[in-house]
Amino acid sequence: MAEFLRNSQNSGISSTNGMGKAEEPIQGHLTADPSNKRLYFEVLDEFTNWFLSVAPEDFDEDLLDAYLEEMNELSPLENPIDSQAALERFHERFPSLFEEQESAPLPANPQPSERSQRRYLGRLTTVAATIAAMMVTLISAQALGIDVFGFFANWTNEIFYFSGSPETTQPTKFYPLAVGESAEYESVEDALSEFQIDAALVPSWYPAGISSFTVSARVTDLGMGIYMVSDDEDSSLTLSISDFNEETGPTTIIEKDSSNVILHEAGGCVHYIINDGKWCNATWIVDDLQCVIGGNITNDEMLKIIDSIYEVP
Amino acid sequence: MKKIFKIAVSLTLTIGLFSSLACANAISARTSQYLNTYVASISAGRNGTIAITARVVGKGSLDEIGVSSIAIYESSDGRNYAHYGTFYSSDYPSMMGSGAFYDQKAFEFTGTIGNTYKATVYCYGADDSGSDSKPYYTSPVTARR
Repeated sequence: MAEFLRNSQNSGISSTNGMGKAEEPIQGHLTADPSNKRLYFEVLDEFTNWFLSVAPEDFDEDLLDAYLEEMNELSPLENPIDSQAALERFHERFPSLFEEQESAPLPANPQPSERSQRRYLGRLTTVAATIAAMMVTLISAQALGIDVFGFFANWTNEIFYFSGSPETTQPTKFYPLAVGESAEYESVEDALSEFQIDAALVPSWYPAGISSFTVSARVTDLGMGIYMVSDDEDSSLTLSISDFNEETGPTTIIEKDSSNVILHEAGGCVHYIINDGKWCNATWIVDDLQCVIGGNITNDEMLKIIDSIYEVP
Repeated sequence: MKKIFKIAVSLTLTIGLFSSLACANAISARTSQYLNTYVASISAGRNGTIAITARVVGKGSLDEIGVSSIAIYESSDGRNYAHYGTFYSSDYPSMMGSGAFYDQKAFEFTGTIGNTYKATVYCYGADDSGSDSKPYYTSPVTARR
């Protein structure tokens, strides 16, 4: 049962997972190294200043190309836009914008007047604004992501989710509980052992103030869910481990803010660090399991937690 | 013409950039204080039974966490859907719990065998400072014998 982005009564919008609505994604600027991001924005800032201030007679096409190329090198678009195709679609969709230009008889000796230049600039702005709207629509339909073993990590300014289905055969599931049952365990290791899960999933380091956890597991129509919730009142940390079936893939939606997702590789697996205000999540996939650690902790603390999962004692 | 087109595209990208930044700023103010992750599904059991299950994880322990309401839609041809009904946690306590997470069957009903159903599940979290709700749209499922 794949979940779809689709209003229940409308059938026009489609994407993956049951996320609430179509949203503007962050343009494919993945930055595992934050220094790249700063540099990218420095160049972007410089480009913007130049572009908005340059006089038409000083406009330098080569400089424009250099800026665009440099920005693309620093932060390439994951889904490059075919601007020519977009322009052709724009022509087809809004022919009236071009009718006058194409059908008007050409004067014998064209003299550019201030009025016609203004009209032309106005039309150019209209064209640019309309193409911008079209591109935003185009981009909105394409969630940004990285293909990892058949899964596609997608995120917008508000949510993160995986899409796709596993490329490899999933291990046979074993549930010690019937659908609808739940149980509590002394430790998350005990719970994993009960469910016969032997993957490395449990951190050995936690931030100060987080010392004890309550561990429980449930089996529902969605599958298995193991939860490790910190007992400390001042600090919150939750580890959830849930499985998914081969048809759907992981369909959980994770809330986020507009900040970039950070990719962190550890134990041969890409971990996605996702911020939502002061809350920090990390999620990754192992076999048919999706793991999420979340808490009101810093990114550095989250990185340390993730690394501790794979530390050999 | 190539130059003009480049200017148009550049202007477009600039407009898009500023729109993105403006949008990003507006969105960042809407960060959920209560909901962290959520997922829901609709499944068909025997004798036309349709069940809606939700898994919601909060940002810490919450006074209320679960599903505030479920809007169900029904179709006899799999294409055109009509509103079947909306069901609220105030009438169905199994839709709501408390603590750090909610993971259980939220609602069950008996559908018409052969008809298709889908749901909009409103995942919910609240404490004494406020509340938040996010919709999750399930894929359709067909009621079976």
